[in-house]
Amino acid sequence: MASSQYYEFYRGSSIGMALTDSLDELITNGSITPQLAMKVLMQFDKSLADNLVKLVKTKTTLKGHLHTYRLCDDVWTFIVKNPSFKMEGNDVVTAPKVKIIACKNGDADTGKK
Amino acid sequence: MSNKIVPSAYRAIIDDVMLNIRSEFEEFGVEEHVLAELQSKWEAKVVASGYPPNPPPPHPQHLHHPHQPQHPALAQPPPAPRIPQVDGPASSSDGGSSSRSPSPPPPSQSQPAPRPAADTEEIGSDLDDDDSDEDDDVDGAGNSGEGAQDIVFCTYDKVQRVKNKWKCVLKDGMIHINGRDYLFAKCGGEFEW
Repeated sequence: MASSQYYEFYRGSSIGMALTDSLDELITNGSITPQLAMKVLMQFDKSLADNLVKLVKTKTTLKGHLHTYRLCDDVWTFIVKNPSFKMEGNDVVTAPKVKIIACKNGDADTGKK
Repeated sequence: MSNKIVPSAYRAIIDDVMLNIRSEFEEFGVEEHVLAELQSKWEAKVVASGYPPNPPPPHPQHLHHPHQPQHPALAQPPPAPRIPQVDGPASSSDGGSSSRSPSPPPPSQSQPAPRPAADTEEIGSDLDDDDSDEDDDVDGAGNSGEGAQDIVFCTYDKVQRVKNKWKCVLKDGMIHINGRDYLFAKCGGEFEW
């Protein structure tokens, strides 16, 4: 069965960068090859996507001042100033600025969810 | 206040990946201990980025610190002073005697010289976080090392705009903000441009 394509941009997240950095270390000390590292990252793309969908059910809202926006190749990038995230349980999280990177929904596989 | 699902979600992701790459590692002839090494490095870095992979014991954390519950292991580097600055003018009132310098004293002579250089460097790096981002905006969002940048990775179902009012529906998101991680299945965004 052909492996589906999953979005790779989640590799930039905390957990993704943690994995990338760890793999880089192992490549540097010769424990693994870059090819193997690639396979691990591809597996990460899949595991992350599957588990996010399966385990996470929380809803949030976000308000703020849109500072910049860009759409390129079906990827939206927003910079929001003074964002206010309302998490479940009426918890509010704010920051001076946040960047949002959003790819089009629906797996990069054939057909949408 | 915490997004309680995050540690267990991370745990599930890590376990899932480790399970599935086992056969790849074998194919490549890589030894078991490397697999374990990868996992421990990965977990250590995830913890360092502000969220532990293991579910935290059931503290009533949010009762104590509504804004910032304590995290056991943190790599929050204290802002290291970049300029080894010593009060130059103060010593002049004492007659400029360099003999009284209980605190680590760089010679006051050489102070002015490196200072301009250090200044420009420091200015550059200080502004790096905030202002240069404003210029570059979408492009210049470098990683300031420890994921100090507040960022959201997600997908979008819908983005629409009426005049300067934007509304969007986001899905499956990972938020990193104020040094902590949150996850959402769905997020409704409303912005004014």
